Amino acid sequence: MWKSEGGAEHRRQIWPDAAANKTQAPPRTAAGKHLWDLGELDLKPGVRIAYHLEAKDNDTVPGPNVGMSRTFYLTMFDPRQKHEAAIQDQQQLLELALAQLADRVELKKTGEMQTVSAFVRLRAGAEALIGALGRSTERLGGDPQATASTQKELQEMLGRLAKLGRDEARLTDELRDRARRGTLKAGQTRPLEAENAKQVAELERDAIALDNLLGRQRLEELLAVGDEMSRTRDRLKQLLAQYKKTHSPQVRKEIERELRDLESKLAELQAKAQKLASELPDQFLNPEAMGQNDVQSELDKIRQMIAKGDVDAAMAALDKMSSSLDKMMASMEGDLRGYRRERFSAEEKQMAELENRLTDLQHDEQQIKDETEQVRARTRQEAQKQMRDKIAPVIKHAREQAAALRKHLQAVEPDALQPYDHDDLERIEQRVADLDRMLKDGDLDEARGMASEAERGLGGVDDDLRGQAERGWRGERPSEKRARGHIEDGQKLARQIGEELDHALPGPSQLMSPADQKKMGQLAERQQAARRRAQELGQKMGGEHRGPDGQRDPQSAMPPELAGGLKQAGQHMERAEGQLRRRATPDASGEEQQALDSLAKLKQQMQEERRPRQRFAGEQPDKEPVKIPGADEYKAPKEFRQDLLDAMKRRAPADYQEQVKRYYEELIK
Amino acid sequence: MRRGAAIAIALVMLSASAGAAKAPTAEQAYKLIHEWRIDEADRAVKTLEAAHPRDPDVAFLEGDLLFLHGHYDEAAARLGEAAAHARSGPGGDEVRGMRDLARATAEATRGFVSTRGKHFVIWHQPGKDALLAPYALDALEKAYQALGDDFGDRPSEPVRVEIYPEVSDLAKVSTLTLKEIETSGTIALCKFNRVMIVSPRALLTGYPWLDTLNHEYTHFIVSRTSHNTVPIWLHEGLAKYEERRWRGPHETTGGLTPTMEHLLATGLANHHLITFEQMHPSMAKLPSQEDTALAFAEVYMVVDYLNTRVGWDGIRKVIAGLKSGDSDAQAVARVVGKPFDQFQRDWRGWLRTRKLRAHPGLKPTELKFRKGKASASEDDSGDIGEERARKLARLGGMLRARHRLRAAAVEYEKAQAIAGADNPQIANKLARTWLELGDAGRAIAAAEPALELYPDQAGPNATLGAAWLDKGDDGKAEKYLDQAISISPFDPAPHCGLQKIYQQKNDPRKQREADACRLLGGGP
Repeated sequence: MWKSEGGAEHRRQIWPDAAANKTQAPPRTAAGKHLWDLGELDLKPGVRIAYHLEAKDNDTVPGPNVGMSRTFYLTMFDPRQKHEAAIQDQQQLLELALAQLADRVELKKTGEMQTVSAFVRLRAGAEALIGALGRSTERLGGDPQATASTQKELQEMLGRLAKLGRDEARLTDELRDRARRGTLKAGQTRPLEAENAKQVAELERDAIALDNLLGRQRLEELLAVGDEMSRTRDRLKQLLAQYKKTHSPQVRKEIERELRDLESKLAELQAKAQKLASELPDQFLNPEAMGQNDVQSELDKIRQMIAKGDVDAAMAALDKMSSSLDKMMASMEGDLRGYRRERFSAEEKQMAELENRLTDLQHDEQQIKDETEQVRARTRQEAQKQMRDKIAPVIKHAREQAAALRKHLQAVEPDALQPYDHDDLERIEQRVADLDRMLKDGDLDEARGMASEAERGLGGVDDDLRGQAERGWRGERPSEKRARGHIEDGQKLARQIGEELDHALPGPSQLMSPADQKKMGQLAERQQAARRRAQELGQKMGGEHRGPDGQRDPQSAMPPELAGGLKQAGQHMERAEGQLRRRATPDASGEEQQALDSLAKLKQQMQEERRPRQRFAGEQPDKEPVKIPGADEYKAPKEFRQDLLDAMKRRAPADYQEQVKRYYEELIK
Repeated sequence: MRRGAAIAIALVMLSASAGAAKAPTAEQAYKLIHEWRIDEADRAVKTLEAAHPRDPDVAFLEGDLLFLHGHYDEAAARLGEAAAHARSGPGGDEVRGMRDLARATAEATRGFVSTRGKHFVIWHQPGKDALLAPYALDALEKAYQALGDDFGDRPSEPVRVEIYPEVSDLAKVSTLTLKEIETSGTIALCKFNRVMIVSPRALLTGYPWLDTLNHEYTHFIVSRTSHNTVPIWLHEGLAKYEERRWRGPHETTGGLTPTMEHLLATGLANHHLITFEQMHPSMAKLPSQEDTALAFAEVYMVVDYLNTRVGWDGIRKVIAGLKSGDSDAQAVARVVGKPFDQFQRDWRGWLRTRKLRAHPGLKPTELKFRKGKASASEDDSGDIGEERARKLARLGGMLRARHRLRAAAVEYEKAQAIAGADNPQIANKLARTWLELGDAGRAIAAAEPALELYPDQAGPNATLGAAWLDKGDDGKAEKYLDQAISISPFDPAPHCGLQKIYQQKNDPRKQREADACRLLGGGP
């Protein structure tokens, strides 16, 4: 039986099922399984379902006896709940800041005693604001949609207000003491007025900053709803394609569910946009989001077409709806960009400048990589040309060794290895196949790389087997011992292949023309220059931005991970520079590619900072049926055993090894 | 000529079959339409229709006239018949274009209702725009008399006026694109024998819609009296010059606005004036609202110069000259007694003697088209140039919204100290805050400097009207409240204020204002 908050009760019989043989005497014990498709419940985020099991007997006097399990609860996670709570916090902060500002601005000039009393009264409001700011900043950590810049901004706001509050409080207390002692003289409260002016300036800045933040987050909320609609749209596309093939009633049910989801999101979007309309100036309003769109009519059309059985027409209607949705999203993103340009102009300008410099860096790094690749290609060609005659026997021998290596790998018995080592072994086998192919093609440079990878991979498997042997309380099994032998022999062969190829391969000075060697030097210099630019950019990203008046601009905070990303790119560039100086083109190219990947990831992070998307720990919410485990499945599942084995790899201190061994044995009994 | 090719065949067929000299030809009928001689065209086409009922070119002419008389569905049908026979090519395209325009206009005005006056019929969407009709008729009837005196023409048939709810409707019923409308700030047209304006509720802060109605009515009269021969520069010059004529004689109602003066002074100083050629074929096709405003300012001064030299009598003679076939250069030269080039040079020289002042910091008011149907927040601080002033004005708005009025006034005053006392957004907000604090004197002191530079802003006018009402000076209050309604008629406060004033002096307009006050939610 299950029930949602405020909803009706539902029951479903799990046992006995319809196929049960009713003529036989019922067993003394029974078990049943039910795969509960939560999709049929049309659950919304934040909803809580209570469910329990009941068992009834056949007693007829006075009626069946009912046994009930305890009640379990299933709560639908709502990623936006925390974010909405955080926004409400910020709204509250804005109200407190404005109230404080108004109180301070409206302070009238009076006598000394009255001034001191007024500031004592102001303190309560100031402390309330600081307290609220502290709590809000803390809670923001739990908000998956809060950006790093928002967190930093609020923390800094808290720091500044707290300092001003302390300074003012100290002065107020001092003057209050004087007042009590009767030694307060005329003019002595003037410093308080100066403190008040500082507080007013700070509160003006903070109120604007909070208002900007709220407006931006409200616009981002609209986009978040739009993103969810886009995801639902994508899922609907897949379902329609599936339905076209199968005409399955189950799929049709899912289609209906997704259509309902889209409708509710559309209504939510319109409600939010309408509400926002009264809070933001007209220039940031989005008529499409507020209802001037044809999404609903296209959804109705999809439903009609499916009811008629015309899936193609439904898909055409979905395409039309999809382009309306994309247009609306583009328009909302434009509104957000416009809002950021107007209200976060310093930050936007800085971000735009940083992004431009990042783009330039990417462009230059790509050029370096392209030119490295060109040298590499020429080097490889030269290598093949030089070695065509000389190297045939080397290749023949290497291929024989590769074949022997493959035999060793194939001889490893599957049960000797842990499951994760199976994957590794498969990869190593692939490397060996690649090695043979490269040798056949005469590409010794690549073959060398494959041999190195195979050797490294085998080293890893060997370590695992050794560790397994040391930990094993049964002692090493024969198959494991044999496997280790094959792996070790295979590793030796891979190393030999690599060494022989190394000896056979001419060095860079023999393969590279003088022009290319000079080129490599130049590329190294350029790589060094790019690395320095990356370093400077990283420093700028981590640094502060000051406004035209020289004051630190609170809205120009850069998230710290952006500077970290550049550091990583810089490290790859440094290694690439080293490889270029050593004329090692494959390794240089590899590092350059990694630098480029870091830069691309950084750029994406910068874009996300300006257009946060809902994060579900990197995953989309899965709408597939959730299996709730039954008691018979609780036997240290495979993943759990895997985790244990991984943990077991980490060696326990020597004195505790026996206890640890017994502990693990108990866990998986 | 737009429709020349379409009736090329008719020229031969119908002229040949015209027979007796007195029977009109299709070409003559078309010419009459083009010359805005609609009554005569009606008679000519009726004769043609009797003689050639199934002729497609007659169908075209008839459809055209139905369109000009506002019978759009019938016009679309008749033009459809003509289009069915039209060949491919420019002529056929024109016929089909006319048909499509008739259909679009029929759709755009579907469900419109009318309010009839003595000489005008106002067509509008039912609902809120009904409020506009009495004011429109009042102003137009005054213009009818005033322009009748100036141009010597008073139409006998009621003039059709259409008020569209949205800017996009104007694009549908005209040959302008929405982009051109928004870029040039065009919100009204006189074309196809009618006056067309966009309702002030389509713009965030309204616009001087009554003056605009009269501007377009001036075009109507000029087109009729000149048989559509007046060039654009003179057409627009006369329309701009006569824009406020409905309010009274030129001496009291005319003159350059500070914005026009500023644009002219700056244009002269930078040697950037819009030429007459650039104004052709329409001011609406100029690349920006500022260029359009400058062009209007220039042609206003050309007409002002003409008036000072040759008076209204001379202006009527220029129009008569154009009507009889003179070019604009010939017609003007004949009346002023010197070549047109000389006239232009003399005008520029005269312009330089006008001691036109630039107003540093003046930002010509741009028309802001409303994006959403929902009412947006009142925060227009984005229009304030200086960043710090903008932020302080926003703070003022936030405090005012929370009823912390004294604090709001302090922030607005800080903003004003940076942006200047004549910044209309800040001045009006500060003035309104003082009014809410019960200090009408300070409200007036805050609003007046802004209104000197920006007399066409509804906000300061409404605030000043309310402030003078508070102070008990009904005469001054009425003037400002009237002006506020002539710009932004959907603000209830001026109507409710005027209701009180008219009640006091038992003015028959009190009912109209009471109705508007109630309809707009301002009443109890």
